[in-house]
Amino acid sequence: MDTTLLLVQLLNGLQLGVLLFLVAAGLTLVFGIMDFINLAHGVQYMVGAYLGVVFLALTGSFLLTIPLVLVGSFLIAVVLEHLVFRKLYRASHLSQVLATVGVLLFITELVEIIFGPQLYQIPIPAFLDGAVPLTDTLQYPVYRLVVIGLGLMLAVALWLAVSKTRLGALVRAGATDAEMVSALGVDVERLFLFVFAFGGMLAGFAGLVAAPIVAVEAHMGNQVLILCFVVIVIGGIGSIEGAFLGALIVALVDTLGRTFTTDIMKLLVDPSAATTIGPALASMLIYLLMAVVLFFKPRGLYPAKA
Amino acid sequence: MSALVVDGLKKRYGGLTVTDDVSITVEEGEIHAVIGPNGAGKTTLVKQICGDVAPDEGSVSLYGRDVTHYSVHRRAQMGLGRTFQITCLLEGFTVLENVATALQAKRGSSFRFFRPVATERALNDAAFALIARVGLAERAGERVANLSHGEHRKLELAVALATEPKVLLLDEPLAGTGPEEVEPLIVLLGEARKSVPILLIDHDMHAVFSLAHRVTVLVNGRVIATGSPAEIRTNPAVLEAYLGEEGELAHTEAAGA
Amino acid sequence: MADTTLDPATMAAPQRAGGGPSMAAIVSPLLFFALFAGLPFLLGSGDTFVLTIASRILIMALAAMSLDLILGYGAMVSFGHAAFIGIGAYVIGIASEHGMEEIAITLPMTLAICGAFALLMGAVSVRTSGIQFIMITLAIGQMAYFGATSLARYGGDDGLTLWGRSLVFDTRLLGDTTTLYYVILATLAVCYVLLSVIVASRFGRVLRGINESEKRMEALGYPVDRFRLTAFVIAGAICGVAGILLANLTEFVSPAYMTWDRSADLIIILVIGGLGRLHGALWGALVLLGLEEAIPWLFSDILAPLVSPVEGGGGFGAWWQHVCAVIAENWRVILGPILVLVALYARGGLVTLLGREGRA
Repeated sequence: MDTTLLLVQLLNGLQLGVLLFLVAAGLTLVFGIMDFINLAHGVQYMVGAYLGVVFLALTGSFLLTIPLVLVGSFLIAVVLEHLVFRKLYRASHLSQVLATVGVLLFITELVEIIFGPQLYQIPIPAFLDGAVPLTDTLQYPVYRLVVIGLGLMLAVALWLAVSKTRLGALVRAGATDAEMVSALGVDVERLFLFVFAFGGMLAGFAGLVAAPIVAVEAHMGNQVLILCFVVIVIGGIGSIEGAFLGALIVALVDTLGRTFTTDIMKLLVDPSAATTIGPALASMLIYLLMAVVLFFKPRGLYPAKA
Repeated sequence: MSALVVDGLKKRYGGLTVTDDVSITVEEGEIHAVIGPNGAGKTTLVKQICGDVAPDEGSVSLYGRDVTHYSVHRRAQMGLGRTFQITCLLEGFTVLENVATALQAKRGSSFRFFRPVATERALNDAAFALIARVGLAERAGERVANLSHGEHRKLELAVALATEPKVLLLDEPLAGTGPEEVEPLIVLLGEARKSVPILLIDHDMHAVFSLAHRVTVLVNGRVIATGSPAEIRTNPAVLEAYLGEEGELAHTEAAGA
Repeated sequence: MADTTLDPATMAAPQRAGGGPSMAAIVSPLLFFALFAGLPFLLGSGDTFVLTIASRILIMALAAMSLDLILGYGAMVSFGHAAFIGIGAYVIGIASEHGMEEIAITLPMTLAICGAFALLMGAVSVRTSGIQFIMITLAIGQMAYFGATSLARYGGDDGLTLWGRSLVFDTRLLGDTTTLYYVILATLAVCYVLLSVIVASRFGRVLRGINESEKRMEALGYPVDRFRLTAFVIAGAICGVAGILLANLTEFVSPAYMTWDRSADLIIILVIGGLGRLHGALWGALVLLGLEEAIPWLFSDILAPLVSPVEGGGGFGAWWQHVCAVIAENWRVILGPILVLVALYARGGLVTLLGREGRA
């Protein structure tokens, strides 16, 4: 295997990693603080992408689209929280699963009704179109590099916000012990609402940013959702650092695994067997990884709760 | 042979030594009480004896057998029965079922898949006898969730006795009971002692001094004194520790208990 | 109080937790089985379409019921249970590919293989709880799924068409759809009785006790993990039987039988019907799969013809027809809100709405 391919796949993995982190951040906080399993979180990512398609068509400007998508995603999360989710914070995990699957089905189908089954894509904005040479033979798209940079910046900002601000302290305290926070006289309902909406906004933003790279369709959130659950469980529920680390690990293992597993298998077994087993094994890798992590560290790498 | 020997138990959490070289023996036929102010390390001690927490140093033995590295259920199978400080019962089960489930652990295999357990007459009769013994006969068919606090404590005791223990560890069996409920419980404990040696962990000085043959006082994770109730009452170190804390001992003494 | 009124055996009987069924718990499954036993007579001969749907409902009910043993009674939320449907189906598919169609041989094979897989899945998962348990079972289920897609020799992603339905002692008994339907119904009934008996046994009581308080059961001396693992194996093996039936019904085997959303469907069936009741799985499967069929049918066959478009098209009629067609196509847009409503307002499942049972 050549180093150029490795480098490209590393960058692709990194780019997937930051996107996963943006979606997983909201998921892990909501889970950690409110003990709420939200299977509809992937929908926020999908809706973010569609909002991008719509607002770009309306405004014609990618830069204008960004704030509109952020506000739109935030508001949708607020509406969902008010109508459904807040009634379920005290319910069993199974009721939460049922209700959030219901929301997932409803919104996914609604989007399909409105937009039809065809795929959409947002063009890469002109000022980010192009590629930069990384080595003599290797060029890499500017847009993907910007996504990586933006994602890393947001990760740092989020980490600072959670670890250094008063609001962040409340969020952390909430992830450790929600009752204590309410005993401090904090309006827990508003804290929950804010965390929920903010998480939805991040996921929506991830959807927008992903839209020029992946195909926009109504089911695009499902695969991401499962990956994000793997991410937050590996990282440790309720922990931003854990979500970041988990996202990078999962994305790199998945991306590199899909590229190289078959080749590695060819070294071990005969080529025809390798081509049939390789892809399946590559798809299994992250689950294998999660099972191993949970076996040795049942609470994940960076658990939020003491 | 001593029923239970706790020898040199040490447990540290970070820089804090929660139990520091604690040694206690429970002889057959006796009630040995462990008292100590809040934060003395009683809860951590109980957890180490039962197997919830592994000690850093020291050992726990049941009738001469070292069980320090045994799991919770294995210790229970070997005869270590217990009650919980905070009631821990099968809430959705009836009173009768709680006791029968405990009996079932010792009487025959529980890997039986076909015979309806509710028709096992021997099990139910024995369970009912125990329930009657703690005075809950009229509540046998009631779901545990509907019992009062005092009834919970009685049932805890019945469940612990149903495991047919060779040593019984009672973790604050009187916690949270009103004055009118304490007396019958104390009578029950006194009766239980005739069949099984007891390690009694408690706050309630009155009960401890009237029941226990020997008393160990735990302060800041260390044993500061062990002796008969009379010795402990007049032990200067104990008086100091307790006067400093809450003065409860002095109060008990003044009441002539 | 006289001892006669306090006889322990009679007192335990009316309590649900004691394993003795309440009225609702007796009437509800009888009603279900009577309904499905009578269905072919109501339909008349030749209506294989509805009979196939009903067969599918019964098979999913069986799979969900096996999940109820570990989820409802044992509090283990397995998100990979559909793997056992898939494995059961693949045993039939692969055996058939090699010329072995005799159910008397493939049934014990399925039970053994599903039991072994459950032992493996359980061995790594029963020590965990909560979300960790959910995720480990999800992970292992996904691995089974991807494993199935890699079986290039047996169709890979595309799945595998059977040579025919299983032989029963060398006869083509299952060839007739109505006969197969009754075999499925009878299998479900047998498994229902079997699971009911297990739940009421000593083993079942320990399992229910663990569900109530793991800590207490440990302290009583029960090796909790061993009981959980045993339940896991029983549930896996029974779910494998659902896989056998599904392979025979569709005469087709595919990795799609074991995706995570199939596992989620099983959980949803239980939550809709009611956990820890066995017959909850029956009604839950009927409601979920019934809705999947009924909503499109309602909109395309019943509601759409109510308003016909005006001559030459256009107007409210045309719009109405269009809306009905769209919803019939995207019927989950109706199912979604129904699930939300069930989660919000029918806690404990539909079975609790049928009648207050045993909770008095």
